[in-house]
Amino acid sequence: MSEFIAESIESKNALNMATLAAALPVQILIFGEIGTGKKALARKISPNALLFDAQKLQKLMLNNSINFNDDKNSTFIINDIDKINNIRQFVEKLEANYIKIVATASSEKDSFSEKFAVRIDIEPLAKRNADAKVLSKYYLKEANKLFNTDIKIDDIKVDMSRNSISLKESIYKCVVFESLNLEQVQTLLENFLLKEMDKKSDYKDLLQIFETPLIKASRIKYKSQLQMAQKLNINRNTLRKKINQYGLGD
Amino acid sequence: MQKLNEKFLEDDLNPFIIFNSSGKLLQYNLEAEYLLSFVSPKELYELAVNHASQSFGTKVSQISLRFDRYAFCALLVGYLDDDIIGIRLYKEMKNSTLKIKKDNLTIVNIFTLIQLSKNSVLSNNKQKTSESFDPTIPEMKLNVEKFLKLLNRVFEEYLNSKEMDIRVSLKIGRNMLIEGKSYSLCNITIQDGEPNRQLNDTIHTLANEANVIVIIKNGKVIIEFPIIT
Repeated sequence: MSEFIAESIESKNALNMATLAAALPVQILIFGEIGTGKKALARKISPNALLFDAQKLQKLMLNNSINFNDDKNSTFIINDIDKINNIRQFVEKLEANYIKIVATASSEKDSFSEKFAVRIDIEPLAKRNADAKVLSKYYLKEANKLFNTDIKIDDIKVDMSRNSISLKESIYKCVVFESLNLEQVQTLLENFLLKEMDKKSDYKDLLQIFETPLIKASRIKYKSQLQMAQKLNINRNTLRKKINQYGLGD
Repeated sequence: MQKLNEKFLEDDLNPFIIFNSSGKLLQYNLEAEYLLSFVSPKELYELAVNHASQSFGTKVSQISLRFDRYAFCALLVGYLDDDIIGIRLYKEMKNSTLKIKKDNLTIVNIFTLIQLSKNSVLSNNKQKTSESFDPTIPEMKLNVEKFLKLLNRVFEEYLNSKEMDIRVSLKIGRNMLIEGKSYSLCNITIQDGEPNRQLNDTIHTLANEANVIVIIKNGKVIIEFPIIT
């Protein structure tokens, strides 16, 4: 999703700042974790700006492979400015060529943010519930359509550790898993086992791949080990042994 | 000869004051008269006594001092008997004049800049902020980049404040003469109740670059600048 989602108060503030700063002749820094929407916000500030990766632009500048004469008074969106060294010099050189910068960064070093008159912080998605909800719905709709499923948002455990990146990943994985039929699961397993066999070939070791999900699923279904052993038609001691062996005990 | 000495002292750009032994003002020049509207005679008398030579004579002290908008870089204190003591304060001239570099000026709304700067620096802070903005202040020409950097640096001073008050007003009754033209003045006053707030030199350097004056008065930080429309 390339649009900046602004449903939460935090992102509305960020968008408001971006709108105010867009009209001013100032260098802007957008700061936030990976996947928080920095690039999308930068595009809101300057929809037609040239987009550069900081490391690549620095290399071009060092090799004199870029001519700024045609770019005077234009805006550059520079991604991951924190990934380069000598940020201050880099910014000063662009300033000397009358380039307006909208930079993104996810970490701070050498207090380089002082070089920017405006700093917009984007909060992690975990702190922006309203935005996370909109994004989850968007990706779920997209994935349901693609895999012809009807998964509900409540059935998904959304991962926001890497913000929208892990959120999208977790939703797509969940939908894919739910959409698989027996044949597809078996093909998946076959391919997986083929790769695993490069590392281990012992039947007992490989058995864990089948038995772990079986035990986990039956525990959800039958609750007690007594019931699990009865339904799976397996000796209770054998079941207990396997639970301990695979580290599945409570 | 005596008259010429007196005339020189009277017209000197540096304040000159003579006190009696109990700290009463005996004589002062025009510049001192102006300085005395910002600082009490008692404070200046104590300054003189604290920097006087050990025995009769004069002593120069290199000292950085700030009273309101005035910055001084040295003091000359002298006394020839126990009855009177004189002090002359040497101005740091670069801080007391304002020159406007006309390039890089953009017409802006001052409230927008304050909002942007406050959000840039204090967005993660939960302090209670009260604001009082005079809506009659017009849009004005400023060096936006430099002005925002100065504001950012000033707001950084308030990162640990529990509450703060921001006021933007026109300075009534005072104008600033720049290159023969008179301009009204705008003030941004920021305070958090801390009476002993000090500002470091970075702020004054940024203020010079942004063509504004930053003064500190009773713990309040006052940013003063001409309204160029």
